[in-house]
Amino acid sequence: MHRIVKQRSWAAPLNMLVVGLVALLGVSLASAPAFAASPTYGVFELKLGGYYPSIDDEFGGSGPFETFFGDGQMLMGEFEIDFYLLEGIGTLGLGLHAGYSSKSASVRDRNDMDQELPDSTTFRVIPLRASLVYRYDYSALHHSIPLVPVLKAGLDYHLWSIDGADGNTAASGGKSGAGGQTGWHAAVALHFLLDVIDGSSAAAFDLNWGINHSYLFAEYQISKIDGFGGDGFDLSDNQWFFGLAFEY
Amino acid sequence: MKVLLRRIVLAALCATSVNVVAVADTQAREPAVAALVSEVVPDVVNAYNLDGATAWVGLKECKALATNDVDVAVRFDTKIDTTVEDNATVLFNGAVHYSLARGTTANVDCVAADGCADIPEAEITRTEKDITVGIAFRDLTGLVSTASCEDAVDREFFVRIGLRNSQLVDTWQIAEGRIVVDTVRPEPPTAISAVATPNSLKLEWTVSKSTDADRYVAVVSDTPITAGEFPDAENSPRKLYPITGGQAGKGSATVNLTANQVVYVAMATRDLNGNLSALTASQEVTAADTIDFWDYYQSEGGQEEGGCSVAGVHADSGLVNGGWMMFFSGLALMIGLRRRKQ
Repeated sequence: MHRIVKQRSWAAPLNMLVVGLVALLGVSLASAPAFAASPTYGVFELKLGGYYPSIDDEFGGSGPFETFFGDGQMLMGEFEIDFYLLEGIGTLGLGLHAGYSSKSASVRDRNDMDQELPDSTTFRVIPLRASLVYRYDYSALHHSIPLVPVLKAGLDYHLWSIDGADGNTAASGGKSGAGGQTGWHAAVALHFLLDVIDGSSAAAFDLNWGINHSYLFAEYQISKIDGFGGDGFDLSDNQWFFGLAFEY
Repeated sequence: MKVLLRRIVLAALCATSVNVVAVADTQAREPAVAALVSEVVPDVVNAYNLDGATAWVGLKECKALATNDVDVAVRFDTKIDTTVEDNATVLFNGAVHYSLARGTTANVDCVAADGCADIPEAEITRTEKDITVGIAFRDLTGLVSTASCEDAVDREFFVRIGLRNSQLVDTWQIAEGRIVVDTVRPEPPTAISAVATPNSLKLEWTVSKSTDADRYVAVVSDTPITAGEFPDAENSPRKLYPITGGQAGKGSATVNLTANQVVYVAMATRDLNGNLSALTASQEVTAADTIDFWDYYQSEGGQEEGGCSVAGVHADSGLVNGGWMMFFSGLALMIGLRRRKQ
């Protein structure tokens, strides 16, 4: 009996404390959308996707690239930063991209192409792009529809290089195995607004880091990197990218 | 039980009478550790390896130490000042050395039959913080020449001191440093095969039977190599190429050959003390004429010529590339200015 009385003596304040905390949490959650967001300047994206250049197209579809590197895709990572130029029903911005992808394979015996030798040859590509980017985020921000369609189009310049068996840039007939190729790209993406999952964390992210919104996205990109129909490597590919985007 | 106690007392008395540490039952293979000694540091010039209180000497180091009659030393960092002792309280009980065959687990208490030998007081330096015991490598090991080192020596040589705390005068503590001399050559690998390019050798082999085989080396020669030749023999012309990988019987070495060059490749085992085995018989190998992706692309008639391009026009100079860089830089500058205005 005495113990029951003793429990009651601290149980009541505890109950009040729990109720208070829950109420406070509820108020904070409810007030999260009302948080004064920081100004937005653009978006930066980190994304990964498969890549397989169309180098062998000039040989009818199967050629030196497949002979050495097989038909498996390369992993391409890309960073993109967009700067808003116009903000209205959605945003129009300018995006700058830089990426990297590489693949290595064994060199071959010149007299027996099936013979793989200990040294390796490596193909590297660094895609540089400039895009006009339109993001329709009005519905996401005003109508609680957490999806943001994005359209991109722009010009590309892809740096590439090939390492030879000695680890240095390959050379053949006085021609250096490194260069660049021009082209264009267009892409469509769908971004999922992660803020809807945890609004309070999103608000804290903005408060602490200036990141207004976070997105998970998938992007389909058509890139035509063939010197606008000229000679040289055709580094074109149609790619899927998946990544994270942060509006700052 | 009484007999055992009597033996211990006798051993202690005997040890005291010949100025040898009285503590019995020391672990033979690992150096003894004393609470009054914080660290034991062997000082062996060009030791192949140092690991705590143990210095490892292989064939190459043995030859140098024996031929040049070099002194070795062991420094014992003490937690007490042994220089303050007087006739009433002796804190340091001298130094001895003894040896054991590798792998021996016999205990050594330095009674008469254990082969312990005193190290003269003149070879011992005591300071407030340490005791350094020096001894000629020849005196420690009995190895006096290149030939004696070649004689497959595999022994552990211990330097032991005894000291005690003035508050615990009944207890002598012993500490040891160890110099392991291993000049036993490992067994060579067998069944080697090699593929060569101008830049590398890819090798496969059956690993050495020696339990202390550590890594493998390749020898490349323009002429055949006879099995049994020692690659580290005096005036040997052999250049050793370290093989990366190795324990699994596969590895590669970096070489500098020309395409279609015919060479002879042999291998040797290197053990944990740096000792090299005899060479295997050599294999004749022709360095392949390699072709990389760029070379193959060109040979197949590819249109790419390297260098930078704009709208299908290739330029060997960096000007065009520089133009693109300026384009991107300009965009970035424009954005930066716009943000600054805000």
